[in-house]
Amino acid sequence: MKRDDVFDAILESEVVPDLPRQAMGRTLPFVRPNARVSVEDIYRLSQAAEKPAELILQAARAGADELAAALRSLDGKPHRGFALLYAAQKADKLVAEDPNKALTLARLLSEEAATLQAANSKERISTPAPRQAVQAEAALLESQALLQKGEASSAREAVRPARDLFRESGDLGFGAALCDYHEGTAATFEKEYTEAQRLLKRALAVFAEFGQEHLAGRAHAGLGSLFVHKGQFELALKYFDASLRAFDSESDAGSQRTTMLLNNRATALMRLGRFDEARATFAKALNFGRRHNHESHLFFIRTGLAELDFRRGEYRRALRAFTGIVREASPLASKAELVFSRLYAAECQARIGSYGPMAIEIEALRRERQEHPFAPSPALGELFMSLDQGTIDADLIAHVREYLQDEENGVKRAYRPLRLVG
Amino acid sequence: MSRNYGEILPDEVEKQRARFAPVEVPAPARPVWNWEELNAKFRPRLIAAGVIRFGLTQDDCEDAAQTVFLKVLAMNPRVRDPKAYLRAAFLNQCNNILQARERRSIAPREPATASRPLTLANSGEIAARAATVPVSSRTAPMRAFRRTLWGRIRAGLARLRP
Repeated sequence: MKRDDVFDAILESEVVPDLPRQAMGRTLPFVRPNARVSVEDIYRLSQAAEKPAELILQAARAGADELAAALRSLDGKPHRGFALLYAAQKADKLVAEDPNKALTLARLLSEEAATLQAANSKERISTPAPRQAVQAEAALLESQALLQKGEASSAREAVRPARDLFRESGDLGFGAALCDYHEGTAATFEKEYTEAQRLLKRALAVFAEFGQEHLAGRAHAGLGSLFVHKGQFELALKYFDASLRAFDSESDAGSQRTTMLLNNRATALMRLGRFDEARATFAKALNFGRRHNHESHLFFIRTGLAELDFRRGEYRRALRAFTGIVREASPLASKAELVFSRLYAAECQARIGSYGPMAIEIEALRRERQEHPFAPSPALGELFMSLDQGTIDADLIAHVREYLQDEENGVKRAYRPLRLVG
Repeated sequence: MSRNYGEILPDEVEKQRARFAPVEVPAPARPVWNWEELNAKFRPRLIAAGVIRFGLTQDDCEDAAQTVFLKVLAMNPRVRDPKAYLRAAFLNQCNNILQARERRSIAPREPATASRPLTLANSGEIAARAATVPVSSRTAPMRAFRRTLWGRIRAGLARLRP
């Protein structure tokens, strides 16, 4: 937070300093048609909106009819604008539970907001919960839902109207920072790391300026994940640690983010070869995830633990874990992750000398080739050819896996067959 | 859940798992704002700080405070530290007011005669302006008009003399 000593001293003073009396007050309603509405009244409106916002979210979980009924129940209510606004802001959990329902909610909230009063940016006093603010928040919710569905490009597109709407609503910088954060997160998934880094750092600076530690913590976490993707693990750890501190200070112990954050921190430690610390951190993440029933996160933690066993050379243990992951084919796992799990399983088989099962894994990969994103890759071509020729071994599987993992992380390089690599 | 799940668990995790109750622990509720303090104590200080620190009028600062209070209420579910939010938003709003004032002060002014009443003290300035119009066949009619106008103004002003 930027200091301004004079300003802050007045804010912290025991007594409000006396101000010179103004010659002509202009706040009387009969001289000013747009005289200020009592902040107290608006506060009461906002408080009245809290429960209806929760009811909207419950209705969104229940189904379309329930949601329509919940929205109609707000008709004519003075707190309608705030209820729509708060529903959009509180829908984070719904995004994680069911992104499709969150998407439907976002679009309905935006339609509903069309009848709200517009922001009066030309006036000196702003409108409480104006149309543009609700629609901007709905657009951010849509972006989150799309990202959760794996549609990073559409998620990024959805942020664009939010920026304009926040601007129209007379944003003082905070709305723009929220847009930066969501667009930066989507850009990371699009592998546009330079842009993602710029956006997330800008968001971080504004969240810190506005003193919102928990949001700064999220931006730190986003930057940490970004640096993991870029292979800059030391830097990633710095951001993860800052993020964890922010969540601790906020006592946000129940947060799903803390689970994912611990998982990502453990991944960074593992990639740095700090296996004991990685294991302890994965254990903490697992604890957290189980305690709070974060099923979707548990899947990623299990994958991380399996990779840790693999990196430690505990191939039999890693093999059991990867085989389990492949067999379950969890809907949470992307096609790419399943390919990697198969490759890890095959490599484990090769390293413990089980060539028959290894060949079965590679054959399975060949059968599923058209279903995953690496179908045209020459790396897989070399792998299948070597299998046919009987020259396949653990080093070749590792070589192919590393190339495909780089490709998944956005590293663009031509494939070089193993025999040509020093 | 994988059948292998337990096998890949670190030992300490198994121990820790046993320590926790099987019920889901609800996420902590958002901290409740102390509205009374924000409105009755913090708002007057923000207004005073705006007047003293930036030389803004009390009306400007009251409008700015009203705006940032509406903004923070609109962000209620997102904001954990409302004072920090209000402080930053108010500083930004004061900055916007100062910039708008600056823009107005450097914007080209309307002709003086359109915005302020003429007095005797203006007579020299008007004469000087008329004299600065360059002489040419195109400006001659204008100069003649200015002179005529000036003559009429001077006559009117002379009548006002005590």
